[in-house]
Formats: sequence, structure tokens, C-alpha cells
Amino acid sequence: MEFYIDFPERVIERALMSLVLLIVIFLAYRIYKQQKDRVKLWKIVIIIFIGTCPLNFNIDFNLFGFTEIIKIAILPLGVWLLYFIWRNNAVKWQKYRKYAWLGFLSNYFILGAMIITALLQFLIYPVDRPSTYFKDMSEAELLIIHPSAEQSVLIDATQLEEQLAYMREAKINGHQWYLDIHDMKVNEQEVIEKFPYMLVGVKGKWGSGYDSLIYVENDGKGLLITNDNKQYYYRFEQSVVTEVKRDNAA
Amino acid sequence: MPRRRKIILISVSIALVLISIIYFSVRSSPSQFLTEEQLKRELAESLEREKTEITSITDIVDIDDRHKVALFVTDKEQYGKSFWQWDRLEDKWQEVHFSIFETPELWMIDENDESSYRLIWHQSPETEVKSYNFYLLKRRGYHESQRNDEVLRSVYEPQIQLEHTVALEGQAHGVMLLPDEWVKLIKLQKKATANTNRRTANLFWSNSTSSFLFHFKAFDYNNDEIPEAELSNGPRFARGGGTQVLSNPEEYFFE
Repeated sequence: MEFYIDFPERVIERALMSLVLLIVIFLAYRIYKQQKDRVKLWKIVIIIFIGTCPLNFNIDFNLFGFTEIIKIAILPLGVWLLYFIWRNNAVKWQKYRKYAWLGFLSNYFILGAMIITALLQFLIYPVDRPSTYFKDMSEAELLIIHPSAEQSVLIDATQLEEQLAYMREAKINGHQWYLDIHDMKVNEQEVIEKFPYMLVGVKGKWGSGYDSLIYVENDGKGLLITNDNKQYYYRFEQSVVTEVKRDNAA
Repeated sequence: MPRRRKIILISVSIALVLISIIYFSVRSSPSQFLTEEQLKRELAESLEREKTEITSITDIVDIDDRHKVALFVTDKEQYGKSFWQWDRLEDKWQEVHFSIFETPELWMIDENDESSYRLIWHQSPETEVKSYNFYLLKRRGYHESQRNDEVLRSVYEPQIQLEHTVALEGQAHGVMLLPDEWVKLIKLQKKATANTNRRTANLFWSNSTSSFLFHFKAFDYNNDEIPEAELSNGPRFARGGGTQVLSNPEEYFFE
């Protein structure tokens, strides 16, 4: 069973990366046009590719809540390697040099694209807004994940949609919540999980690429969303969990 | 390059690709699984080191055309499981793991597919197990980052604890898939942490292992719990790997 097969991932990032590729192709074409003594196409591709290899360092890129590992190029190792190969053949090196440097330069195009991606991602898919996570609730389903939950319940999708407008971000007291339950255990009381349900099948805004987990609070009036190792907690007035009456005559 | 040489080169490489495709697809289709006699001989060899002899084969379970489990009984009245997999490179059936104890085991037959888990048990009929409760557990947790007594970021992970009861109905052995809901949860959790894991993983280690734990409890006909230690007869041993042996849940983490 795959749940997100029709769900496009990281649309902005993909679009910008394709743009970078197009720019590189365009610049390579311009170099090609200017040269009288032309280089074969497959050679250009290989030289640009080797040229991209830099000595880099990885940084955990985090801008406006968009996180990704990025490589910052500092030394053009690939270019040096190519120069070393053709160090005794000045004519050939003259022909290849520009492509190799274009390859190295493309590292910075990618860095630029990442920064723009982060900015757009922040504007279009704000991580701290419920609207990012709740777009289509037609297939929403409530999973019971703890024995302290009410056992026959359903999600009230209409109510949830209504409550979206009234959701207030609340403080996450992870340490305190953990301690409260620890106390129940110490006092040999029944353990009541604060978030005993998980809401699945909810589609977020198109193209965000987020795979978030949505926990529902035991009173049905709170949502805890885990997205990429960060959490957002919302409270609202009306419960979105409805109990199913079992005694209804079929 | 002259045109003729080019044509020859291309046709040779196409032929090579075709031949290798045919070669691998023909080789990879598994041969008939071992007969009971062959199995007994193979198992006898495995058990020789433990100074144990095999007396009978209870059942050979057909998981799919590449995975089989043979259930057997030894001369010391111990109940064992032997896990077999079709090895496509060696072109033969191979025993990946065997065990002699009477607690259920979990076998993920395709390590990339969370829906491929199989729960397998082989219980002595004399222990009179009425039912098993299986548990999917993920412990509650939190982490906070602080600066000068001020909490910057707080994360709380609820406890996940699901139960699934299987009545044995006199059947002392069995194989089953995990409940759909469990598979759904495991997959969701994996997807949600994939991005974070990708960033924090490096060349030498990856933290992609699931934080889910699998446990079980056995119950007798009075609905009393049978402790894990009382299930197995004689010394426990296993060789190989690739399965998770289920244990009773730890008291503190079980709610």
C-alpha cells in the first residue's frame, strides 16, 4: 500500500534544479558557438561533469525552516585534475578550460537555487500554519495508537475543516507531558496518553514534499504535528473526534 | 570509426545485454524446494554441533516461491524453526537461520518492504497455549534544546502501543502477516523520518532503523499469562540471523 503515490514532492526544488540545468546547457551552448575549433558533445558533457567536482564542506543548511544538507564548493578540484591531464597540451586545454570552469560554477548556481527554494518554500508552505498540512481531508482516517484511547471513534472531517480557522498555536511542554505520565506510572494509576490517535490520509498543500505525522489529543481539541524533526501544536474549541454509537440498530 | 566497425560494436553490445538478461532471469527462477528427506538430512547436519537429533518435520510453510520455513521437532522434545531463502547467485536454496525455542519470531523477507514481515511460531502442543497477544511498541520520548533556562524547542513523541490477539485454536504452529494498521504506521513513520535521516546519515552509519519494538505474551486456557521462560523446553539456541526474536514486553514501558 502506497499512500502518497500521486503526491508530488518538493515541486519548487525540482523546478529550480531543472532551471539550473537549463542555464548550464545554455552557457555551454554559448561557449560552443564562440569556439571555432569545436569540441565533441560527449566530451563537453564529461568535462563539465568532472569540473563540478569541488573540494567542499557540508553544512546543515537551515533557512526559514527549510532544511537540507548542502555542499559549499571551495576548491575546483575537478578543474585542476583536467588541467593536470592536459598540462602539456596548451591548445587542447584552451578548448576545454571554459567547460571545466562552467562545471565548477554550476555549484554556485545550485547554492543560489537552494536559497531561492528556501525562500519560496517559506512563503508558499509555511511550516507553522495548519493550512500547509490540511488541504484535502476526504480520505482522513483516525488510527488508535494507545490503549487509553476511546476504542470506537471516527474523525469528524467537517468539524476539522471548520476548526482550521480557529486553531491557535500552543506551547509544547514535552518534558512536562512526559513527567506527568511518569507520575501516573509511579502512582500505579492507569496511564493516559496525551496523544492517543494518529490522523492519516490527510493531504497537505500540493507540492510541499512534507511527510508529516499528525497526532490528535485525547480530548479531540488539539493536534500535534511532527514535520522534519520539528513540532507544531495547535489547540481549538470543538472536538474533531466523534464517538461511534454501537447500540444503533442496524 | 568506419561504419562497419560501428555496426559490429553496437550489435555485439546489444547481444551481450540480451544474453545477460536471459541468463539472470532464467537462473533466478527458484528450483523445487527440498523434499522432506533432504530437509531432514540438512537439518541433521545443522543440529549435529548441538548434539541434537531431528525426529520429525511438523510442516513446511510456503511463504512465497523464494521463502520457506521448515518446522521440526528434536529428540529432546524441542520445537524448532528453520528459515530458507532462494539464493539467486548461488542458484540454490540456503538456510538463512534456524532456532530451537518456542517464542515467536519475526521475519522481514524483503528488507525494503514493511509489508513483508511474517510472524512465525512453533509451539509444543503440551504447553497448552490458548492465544498470543502481539504488540507493536514505540516508547514515549521527548527532547528539548535550552539556552539560559529558556526552552527553545520542545518535541514530544507519544507512546505507540498496539495489540493484536491471535487465538491458536489447537494449532501449535502458524505464520501470519502483520495487521494492515501496523504496516501502515511503520511505513508512515519511516516516510516521516526519511528526510531527517538522510541529512544526519553519513558514509559510515545510517540511523534508518525503525524505533518500533515487537513483543508478545502467551496465555493459557485460564487466560493466565505464561512467562517466556516457561515456554521453551531445554536450552535455547539459534544460528544465523535475519529474524527478530520476540520477547515479553518490559514492565515499565508497557501500558
